[in-house]
Amino acid sequence: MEIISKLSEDALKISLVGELDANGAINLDRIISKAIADGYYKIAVDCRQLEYISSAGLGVFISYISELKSHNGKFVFYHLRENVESVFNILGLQKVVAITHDFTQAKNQLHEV
Amino acid sequence: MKSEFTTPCTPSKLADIRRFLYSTLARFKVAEGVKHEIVLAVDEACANAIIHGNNCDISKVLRLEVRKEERQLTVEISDVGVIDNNELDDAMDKSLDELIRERKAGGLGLKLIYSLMDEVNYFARDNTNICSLRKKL
Repeated sequence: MEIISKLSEDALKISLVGELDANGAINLDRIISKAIADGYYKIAVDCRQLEYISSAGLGVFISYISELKSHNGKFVFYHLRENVESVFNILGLQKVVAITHDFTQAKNQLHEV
Repeated sequence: MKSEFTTPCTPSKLADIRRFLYSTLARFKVAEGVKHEIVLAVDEACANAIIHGNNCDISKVLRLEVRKEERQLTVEISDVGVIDNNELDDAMDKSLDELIRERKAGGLGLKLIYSLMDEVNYFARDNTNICSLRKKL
């Protein structure tokens, strides 16, 4: 499940809840695609309640990195649980997306484009 | 020790597969950290088989067999879908930067499987595709 909150004119927060696998990735893709179409290019991703993520979930974010970048935007992930962070690390995602500790840091990172 | 699970080929059953694995691995007394690695790798292999091998055809069946031997755990995933070995190779060859540039994400699951498991084999037996994943304990 995803909970969406607007942060500013071009920034959005997506809170991920529960398990994000190949099944849930389809819905996440729709949400991000719509957010970008609506002009939100700076996206904070709250992972506090994210219990599990598979490559399909991460794949959705990866497929939009270039598009956000072309609009001076980015994803910033925060509050990652250990098992979720380990998936980011195995795939080397920590080198291409911003990961911060909390929401305040995430907001600051979003505006450092 | 051996445990089996059978499910229709639909992504909505991936959560059931993970629940089966967590409970089986707990019963087999597999350590917590290793348990998560095995569940993630098997989830990726099942997602590949369901989505790419069987086109999410709910009339087809995916079968899992988990075996614990002395110092290793083997999971065999079997189905009757179509495996494209060239597609598998192409997916594995892409770097993360290439995937980002091409706005695609295929192949990440295979990278996870190979990173997390000690032995990965894809082969056919009696007209059935087998993905065999082995982890040293």
